[in-house]
Amino acid sequence: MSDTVAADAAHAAHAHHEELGFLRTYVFSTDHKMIGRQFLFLGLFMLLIGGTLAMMIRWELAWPETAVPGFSFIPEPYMYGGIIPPQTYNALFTMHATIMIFFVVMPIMVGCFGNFLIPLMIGTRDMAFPKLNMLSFWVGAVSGVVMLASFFVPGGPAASGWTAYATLSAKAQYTGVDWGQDLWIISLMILGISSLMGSINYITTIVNMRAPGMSYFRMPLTVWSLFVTAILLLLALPVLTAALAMLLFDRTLGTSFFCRKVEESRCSGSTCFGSSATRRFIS
Amino acid sequence: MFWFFGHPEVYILVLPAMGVTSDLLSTFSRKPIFGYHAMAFSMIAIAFLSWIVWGHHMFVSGMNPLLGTAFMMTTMVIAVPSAIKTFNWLGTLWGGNIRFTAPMLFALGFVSNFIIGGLSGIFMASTPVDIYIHDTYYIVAHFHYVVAGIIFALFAAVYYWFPKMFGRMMNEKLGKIHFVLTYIFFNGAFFPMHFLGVAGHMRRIYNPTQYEFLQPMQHWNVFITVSALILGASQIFFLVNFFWSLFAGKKAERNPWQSNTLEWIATSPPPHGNFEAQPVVYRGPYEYSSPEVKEDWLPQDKQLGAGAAARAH
Repeated sequence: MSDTVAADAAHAAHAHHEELGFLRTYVFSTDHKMIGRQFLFLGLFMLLIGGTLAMMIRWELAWPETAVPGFSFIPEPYMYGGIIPPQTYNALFTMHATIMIFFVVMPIMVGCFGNFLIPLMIGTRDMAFPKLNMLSFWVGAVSGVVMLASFFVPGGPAASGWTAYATLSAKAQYTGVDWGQDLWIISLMILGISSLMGSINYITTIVNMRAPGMSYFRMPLTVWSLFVTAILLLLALPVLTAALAMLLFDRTLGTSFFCRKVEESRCSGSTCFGSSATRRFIS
Repeated sequence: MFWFFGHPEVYILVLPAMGVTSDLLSTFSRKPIFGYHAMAFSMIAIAFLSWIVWGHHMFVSGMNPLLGTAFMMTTMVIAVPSAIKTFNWLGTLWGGNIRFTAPMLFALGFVSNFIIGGLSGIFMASTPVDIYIHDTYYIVAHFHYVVAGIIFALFAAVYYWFPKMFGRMMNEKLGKIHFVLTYIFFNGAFFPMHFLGVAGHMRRIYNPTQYEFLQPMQHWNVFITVSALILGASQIFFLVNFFWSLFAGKKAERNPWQSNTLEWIATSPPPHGNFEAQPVVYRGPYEYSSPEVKEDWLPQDKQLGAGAAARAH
């Protein structure tokens, strides 16, 4: 009986939310469930793109240097009547990995189910910071747009592997990709901010907003895993963002974090790899 | 520097998949999860260890062999919490009253692929072996088994929570067809990569037929590609199912899977504010087949009578 009274009260208290327009309900929503759905659709859309790239890679490996059916519309020098040249092949596996990791698995597993499930599973009304949550999705979406935009710039998208090892990633002449690599770095920096906002939100919600009686060891393991994941994200992403910033500075401002500047003409793969490996040990 | 981020990153990807799988296996086995505390602590252990294994990506970068040995040890150690989780999953399934629904099948698919990916991981964790298989398709096979294996947990989660997200059930029959095709052709696509890797097929190679020693293996590349193309095509079943169910699926009840956790006491989909009343939690999330109640599930917020409450610890 008391349940129905409480339900009526809750409905009355939230009657004004019925007035939210289309834009506030479906686009710029602060409701964790809608944000979760948005992440799901973002991830599934990116899954289609990442999957298509994988099919092109596999075609090249099985029947090398033959035309990929249906891709003859892509202009030279990126593809020659559907035949993939080596530079494009490098770009394909780079973007396949990047999209699958950062724009499919992370948005769906962490973004979508994290958002949708954490408040429901711990028995609370919404995330701790609903507006931060909305910002997290839209910053993530911008990052996706930047990443996709890199397909359309001169030189094509990043081609240094998703690991972006210097010197391949630090010097445009090695991969023949200039703009694409910059956009790749910028996109992942933006995504880092998005994930950072998301993980702060998850941690705060789980620590502060559990329902009465929901002790840490009564939480479902999904919530435990998302909690641990959020802490990992919070700690790991600043490292990535710092490394990306250093790489971007190397590429655009002439710094030399990853690649020695002296004797640039003789900056062969082995010396540079040696120095960057040493740097990775120091840092 | 990249791998200092990079290795925690792959655990960021896999941990939610493990959590989702734990929930699903328990729900559909109608049994409490085996070793709940061990599961939670092994996740924390994985998270901690993921910070000190990054060197295993750089065994051949000219690092001191002593340092390589240290990273080899930490990498081997991370297999321990992973194995704890795997055996707990098997322990959960053991003797359970398993319901083979589409989400359950995908969760089982994740577990089996994770085992294959985990075992190949132990090979490359040891430096002598890794020097041989470094940057070959063996590595590609390994990370596709774990990272693309996450896609199984992802589909499991979509099938499982779709009713809660959109208020409609997904089609079981299409889901099962999707699972069978995905599982067969996933393994068809990624398992032969181990053979290629041992044969010396380089990762990120443009044209394998340019190398004489790889030419006898080219038929595997063709086999993988055909499998991968069918794998891609079988996702059509998922897309059709997803969008068809979105608009025309059977209306979902509150708790279609008879699960214990709190999200299932809200309506499907939950309204703004989620719950009609603030739920109060009386027990852990995995009280399936409890002797306290007639049904084989016991929701977290259900208050039992005084006698039962006294018997429960």
